[in-house]
Amino acid sequence: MKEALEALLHNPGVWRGRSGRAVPAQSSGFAWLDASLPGGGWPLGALSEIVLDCYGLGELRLLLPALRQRVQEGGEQGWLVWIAPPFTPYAPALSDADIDLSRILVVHAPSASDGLWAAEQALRSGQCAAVLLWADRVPVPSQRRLQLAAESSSCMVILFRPARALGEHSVAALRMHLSSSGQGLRIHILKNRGGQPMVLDKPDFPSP
Amino acid sequence: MAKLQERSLPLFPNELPVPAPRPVNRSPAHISSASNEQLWLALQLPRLALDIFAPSDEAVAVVEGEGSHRCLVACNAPGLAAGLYPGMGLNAAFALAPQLRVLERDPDREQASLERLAAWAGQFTSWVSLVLPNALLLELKGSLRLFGGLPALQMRIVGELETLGYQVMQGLAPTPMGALWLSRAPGPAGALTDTSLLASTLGRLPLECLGWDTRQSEQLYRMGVRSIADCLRLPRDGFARRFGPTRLGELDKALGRRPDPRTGFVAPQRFRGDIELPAETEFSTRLLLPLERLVEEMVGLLRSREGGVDRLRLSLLHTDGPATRIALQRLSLTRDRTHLLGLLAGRLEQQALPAPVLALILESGVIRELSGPGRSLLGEGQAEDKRAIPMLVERLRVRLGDDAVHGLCLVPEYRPEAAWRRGEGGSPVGDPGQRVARPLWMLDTPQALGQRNGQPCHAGRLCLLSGPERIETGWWDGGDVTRDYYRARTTQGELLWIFQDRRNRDGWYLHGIFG
Repeated sequence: MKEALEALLHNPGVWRGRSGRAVPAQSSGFAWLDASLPGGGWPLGALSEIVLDCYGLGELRLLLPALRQRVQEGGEQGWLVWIAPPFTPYAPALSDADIDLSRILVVHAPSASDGLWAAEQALRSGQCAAVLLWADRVPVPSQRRLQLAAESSSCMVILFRPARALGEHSVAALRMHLSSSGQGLRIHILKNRGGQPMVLDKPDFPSP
Repeated sequence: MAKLQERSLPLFPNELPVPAPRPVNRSPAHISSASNEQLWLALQLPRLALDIFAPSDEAVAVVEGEGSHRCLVACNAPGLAAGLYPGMGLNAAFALAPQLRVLERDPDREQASLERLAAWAGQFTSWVSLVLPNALLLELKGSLRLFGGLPALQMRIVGELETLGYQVMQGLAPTPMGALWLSRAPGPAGALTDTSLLASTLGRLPLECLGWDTRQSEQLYRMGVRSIADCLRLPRDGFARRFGPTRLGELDKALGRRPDPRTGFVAPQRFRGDIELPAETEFSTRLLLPLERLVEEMVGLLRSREGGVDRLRLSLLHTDGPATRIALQRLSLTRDRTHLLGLLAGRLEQQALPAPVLALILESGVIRELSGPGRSLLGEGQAEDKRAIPMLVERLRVRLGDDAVHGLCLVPEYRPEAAWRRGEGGSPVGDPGQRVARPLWMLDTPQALGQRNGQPCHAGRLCLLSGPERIETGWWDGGDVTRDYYRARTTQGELLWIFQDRRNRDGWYLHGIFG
């Protein structure tokens, strides 16, 4: 019985929680968030998915410290690519947050598949520090493609999806749901490779 | 050794002994093949008639001739497996392989293809010569150091040609004619680099390697001549009388006794290549492999001209109706194979095909000299990193449109919507002005908000958190604004940036979102 169990556990298809393997990650800049993420920050070279109830909850502010550091440390390879953003990323606000504007590319994609294609191209260029992608409908095969492209890079890859994606399957290494608790931001970590699902309430999340 | 052969007994006793070869008049304008400083690689393309078509998994044969004399010139591997062979009658071939796809031989396109390969080969040496109908001569001596020695260079040239889809036989010798003979020899490729061994090595070759017509070969055969050495043993003037001075000249040229000037191939100003599919297809994925070959051939030409292209046109020819054209324009000058192929394949993937495709034509604009990074032969890899982002932008633009990709720049302006503009990524972004808290998301045009009891609402009541911040400016260009901006929170917890238009006290608008 024990042998059978061992054999099963050595099957590469079986993944065990808290295996203790170091996951490359970029500190989020928020100690309380880092403590809940397996590598101590946003996964690198893996897909992260953020499901949003609505825009304006602080979804970008949550990423800014990490993005700033990725761009600064990336140098020539520190490009920050925004693909199919729902609104215009506002240059003065980004500059105010000390993000190097000359390393930003904004890509408008007419369809979700174009956006996914663009994200894959950006990831495979090897020049990006982070790729942010907004997409409504992402079928699982496309997610896998994106995940594979992410693995080929050392990027922070964030996929933003609307709340209706909650019921769908996701291959992301980290998946969280942002909503408002009434008092402030609530982060529900739904899937956390190497960690545990949990709910974080942050009524005092830094206001802009 | 040459002397010994000349003194050997004439085949016909009534012939006079062979006079010593006359001193050769070496004109400085020609490169003498007798000098020790040359090394010629002959590339023989025995299956060119078939190789000009895209490869196929089914049995395919190229035929020529009229009526009942139609016979196979070449056939592909599945055809050979079915028992077909070149020279076979078409009816016999159909008996063995009823599904055989038959293509008509096209000498013009064979020559065009050979010329493209000559241009492609220009990346390895500045001296390429065409030998019609199906061979190329490359002088390699000057390129050996640059490409890391003879074996490496030879392997690269032949390997890349085979990857392109051409069957190649090669021969290497200090004289062009000798190299050609060796390339026609059966068995493993002969490599001859020593001039003193010319006569003995070439002598061992069978008569077929001369490439002479059947009548002359048969005549020689009847005379008991079996190898080239036998041929060399014949008395010179008798040989010249029977076979003509040209043939005698060929022997002399091969042995390096006479200069053998070759016309250098001049690469064209622009690339034009076509490739026909053995069977029409409606799937654009089937076009990728032939497209890759055309791009590869073009990149070889670009390397040999040390240039790049900034426009390309791909035409897809259909069974009927006008050709589908895909044009790439205003590219940054490049000769990067993967990049160009990616651009073309990206567009091809999006292209709806109105009818099955028969052939592809790839044409380039005028080749222009490539300056800066990517130009030097050795620095190509290093320069790649620096060009990766411009190339990514180009790839995205080709598929998504020119306006779809941009960077962000600051503009010193008080009006929030005018405080930024689109830029090119990587260019200067402008000076940050004074720091004021602004939302990370902006709406392109302010969105009018509903109102209840004079208060703005957005999916429920809005709670104003801070404000007003008055922005009153722009009277000089007619786009003047007078607004009071507030920060507001919705019942859902969204943080918004809204304003009240002061010229119209009732108007509330959503302008930004604190993402």
